[in-house]
Amino acid sequence: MRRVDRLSISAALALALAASTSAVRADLPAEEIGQNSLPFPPDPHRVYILDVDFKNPIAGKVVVVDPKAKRMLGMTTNAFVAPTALSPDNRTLYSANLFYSRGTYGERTDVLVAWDTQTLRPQWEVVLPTKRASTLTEKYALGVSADSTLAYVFNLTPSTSVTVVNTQTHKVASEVAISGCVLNYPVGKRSFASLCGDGQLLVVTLDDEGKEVSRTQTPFFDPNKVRLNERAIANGDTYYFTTTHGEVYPVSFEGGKAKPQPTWSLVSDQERQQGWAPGGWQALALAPGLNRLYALMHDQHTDGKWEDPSTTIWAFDLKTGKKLGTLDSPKPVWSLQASHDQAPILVATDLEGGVQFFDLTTGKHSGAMDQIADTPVLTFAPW
Amino acid sequence: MSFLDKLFERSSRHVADTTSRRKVLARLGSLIVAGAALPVLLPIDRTAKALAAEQPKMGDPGDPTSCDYWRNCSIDGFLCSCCGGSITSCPPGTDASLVTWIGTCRNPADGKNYIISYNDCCGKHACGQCACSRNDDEQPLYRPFNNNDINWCLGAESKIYNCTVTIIRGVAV
Repeated sequence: MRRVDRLSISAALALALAASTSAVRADLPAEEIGQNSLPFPPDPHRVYILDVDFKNPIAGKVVVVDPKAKRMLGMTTNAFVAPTALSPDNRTLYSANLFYSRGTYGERTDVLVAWDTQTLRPQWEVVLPTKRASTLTEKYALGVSADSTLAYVFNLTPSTSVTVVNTQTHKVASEVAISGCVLNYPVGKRSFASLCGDGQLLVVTLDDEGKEVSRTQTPFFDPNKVRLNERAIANGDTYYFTTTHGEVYPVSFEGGKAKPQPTWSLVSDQERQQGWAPGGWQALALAPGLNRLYALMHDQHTDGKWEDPSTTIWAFDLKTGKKLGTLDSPKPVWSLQASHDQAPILVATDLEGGVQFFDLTTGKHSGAMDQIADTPVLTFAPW
Repeated sequence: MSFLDKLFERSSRHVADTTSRRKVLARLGSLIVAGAALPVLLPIDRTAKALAAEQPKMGDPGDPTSCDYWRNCSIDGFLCSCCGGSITSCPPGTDASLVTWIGTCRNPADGKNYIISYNDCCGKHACGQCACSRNDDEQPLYRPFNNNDINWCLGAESKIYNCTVTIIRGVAV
């Protein structure tokens, strides 16, 4: 090749390289900081994960995730194993917090915080009597009326009562004594039930302001014969409890009064002999779209295992009580929650801070989000 | 209280109970505890020795820093013996809650059932040492004084839970 030609080729290559480098180095446009928010209405499969953070329990949070995209959408912050509930209109996530002015000591303030589910900011708050129950967070320690206008906060000092908050006026409406009874299971627009140590169900009816107008008590179970797990699951105004040995105790509150329904069993005689029984923190879930009940089960059951995790979930037809199949979790799980749509998913919190997902239309495990929280004790699904 | 270790200890116990060699050992330990009046056979966690605040006493056998110590039969929390306290006293700077839950535990040394109160020590963060969860006698929440999911710092100035002591209140009759 002649020297002139070689020089021409070199020059052409240099120009091409310069051009491409210039394109790479073009300035990116200036940007401004944005602000995400969540859509409304929420996807029916959205999951609110209540994380009580055992290693730092004066904190805690609710992590919001999209199980389809396996993506975190945002979070709220809680204080000291705060009971949490989603309003039936899906607009507000409530948390009943307990703060000390110096972190672990100082002046105590109990406060109900109303988080907007779109902005994930506190919308308003109400200072509560300093009586809020402090337990490993129970599903029915905080409830919301069916029309989202009243919130019920369970108190334990250890005498028991319920603080009723009017969510329209943002004020405490009343304190309802529920001596000898625990928790508050929302019933319709103006009632809640409590489970009593003598085996009765107390039903308190309120007026529009949130003040008590009447109460009834109905025998429900014999506490000297069975241990009834207080962590029930509802389908409308019918709640399903289970004993620690798997006997299901349904109760209808239609009309505002407790009407216990016939009991049935999660386990056959043979399964009982094999040691099968329900266990977990929130061991029952219910998918209204499929009319199915799900129970976390383990074998080799003993009385001391009634809150233990498991990898086995059984599905039941709610109408017949017939066992339909088994879901197998790749990790031990502790708390169950089903979505409320027609093609539901089951969410189960595992013991490593993750959540496991199941497609309930196929009965198959459909994915997981590992270590999305520290201690995911309960989850909530949009109504 | 004692909900703090609920996930971790319960899970590790469950995994241990459902897997291989540890399952055999756990079952063996349970059988020994259930059937024995022989203190020397009690399962003892030797790795916890370095943390021990107390030595076993005559008639009160076992290692107070071990979850298998006989007084811990209904506990669900962090053992104060591992947190700067002892089986009967709270760690420095924490306050004892005088409202508590109780359990009944069998002392393998004399075969008697003792009423044990599980007072919580309160006012500081969770201790995080020697988590122990044994719920054989635990009752649902509607029987609160037999329930260990409640934070029993109810009777202390600060309700923030640190650890739990195990105090003999008398012989059960």
